[in-house]
Amino acid sequence: MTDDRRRASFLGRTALVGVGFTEFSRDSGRSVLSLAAEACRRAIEDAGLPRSDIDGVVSFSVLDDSVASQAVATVLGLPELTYVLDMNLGGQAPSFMVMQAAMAVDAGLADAIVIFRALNGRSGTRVGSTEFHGPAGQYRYPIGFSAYPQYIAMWARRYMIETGATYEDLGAVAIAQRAYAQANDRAVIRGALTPESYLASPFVADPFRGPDCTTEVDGACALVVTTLDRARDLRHSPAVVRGAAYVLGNRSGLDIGDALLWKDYSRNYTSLLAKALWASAGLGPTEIDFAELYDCFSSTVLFGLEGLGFVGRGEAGGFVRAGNTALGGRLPTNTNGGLLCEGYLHGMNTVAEAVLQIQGRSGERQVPRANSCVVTSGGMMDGSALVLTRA
Amino acid sequence: MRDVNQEATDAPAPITDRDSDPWWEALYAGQLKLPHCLDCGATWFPPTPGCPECGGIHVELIASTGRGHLYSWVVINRALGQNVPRDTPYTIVAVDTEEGARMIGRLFAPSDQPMRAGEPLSAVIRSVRGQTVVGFERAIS
Repeated sequence: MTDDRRRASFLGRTALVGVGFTEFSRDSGRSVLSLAAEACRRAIEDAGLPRSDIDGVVSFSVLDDSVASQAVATVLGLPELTYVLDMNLGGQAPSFMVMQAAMAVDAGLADAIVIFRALNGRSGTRVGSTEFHGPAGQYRYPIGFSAYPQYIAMWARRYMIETGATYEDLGAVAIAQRAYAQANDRAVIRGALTPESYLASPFVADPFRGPDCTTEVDGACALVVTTLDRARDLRHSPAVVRGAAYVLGNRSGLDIGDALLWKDYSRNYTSLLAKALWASAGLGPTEIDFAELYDCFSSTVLFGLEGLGFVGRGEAGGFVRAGNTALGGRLPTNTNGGLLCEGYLHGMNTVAEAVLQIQGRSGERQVPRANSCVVTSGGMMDGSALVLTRA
Repeated sequence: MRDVNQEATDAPAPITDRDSDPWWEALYAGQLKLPHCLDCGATWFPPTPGCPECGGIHVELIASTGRGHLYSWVVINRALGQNVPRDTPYTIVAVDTEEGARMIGRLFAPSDQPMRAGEPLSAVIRSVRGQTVVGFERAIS
């Protein structure tokens, strides 16, 4: 990534304006199309936009676990679309999807775009343990290296080796986020978690125990993106897209589960995009009020805190253990309980929580000062991030 | 040492392709090989039709000593997925070979000694329930 990159024109001129969810469950008993349409319908209503003003739909899926934007547009009865994009990506996609929609509305290709993620991620295809038919699968599956918790655990172990981080540091992330989840009705994991009960939990893929891992769910989440000019007239205050970056690092592998060629398992894409992200926003880590960091597993929160420069190398565990990521701390983080507790909508709900906080709509878990935040999407070789601010 | 052929595994066969077939054929013949770039000298894994360091297309397979050092590891405590080994717990190691490639494999000779980053390991080719796979043994036992 070049340092003198031209600032993307959509930054500061586009915004997220509406949020829609379905219930998150272990078995929705519904079609993915029904879930997708409900979340999109709710997001459009929440924005205060007439359905007829939506002229774009953007989504992503992995392993064909979702439905085409075309189908959702049909079910919603949208009159005519001028922008449609269905991406084949995993958790690296949500912030990137906001970027695509923001670019499109800023470029005049559409006026208002609904973006969504919908899946029966629990009762249908479970991405955490389903084989990806990528070219590197032949080296993983025959030896029983078969699932995301195992891949990321390999990185977490290397991070522990290099920094001296401990099981307790991983546990601190899970414990801090569980406290937020208790104030979030949508969260599927809400029981109390203490250092003792954490350490008593059986390992899934050592160094990860159950509470270090996200919970797969059925459900959908949608957001509406439009120009800032349009956003100012709508129901809720806009969450302005102030900064954005995506990066795919060098030697990023042959498929999204393949890290064989990645050199440093103790750092992920957040280390690579931090400089560009902060430059794009014209803000730095000290000017950020809260963070929503992609957390398929607890370790990725530590990677994100360090990668984005909130703390120095090896300091993330201590930062979390000292209460800095709790409500009232220096940097409230994953204020919905994160993917660990709210459920695995592949990080779409991570972006949604950021918008709700910026709009002051997070209720009991509302961060007192929520003028600016950072959001990340992705856990390994590539990913995307946003800086959102109040207008 | 445990006899891996008696481990309860039902691991799937690799879905090979034209880029990987020569590597698997060498493995089935008992030889561990690694892709090597004739342009820049890089050695890596897995086999690819271009060099991930320089983009060069003059790639050949070279013999590996199989010796390397432990980069990271994960203990699989819970089998996840369909058609995966059920003989948990087992350990998957990430090993940096002398030639400069990183490989993953089953740890075939576990011991009670704690794992230590950087410790020497040696690759072994084994048949596990009919599947030929690369694994690693610890020099420390």
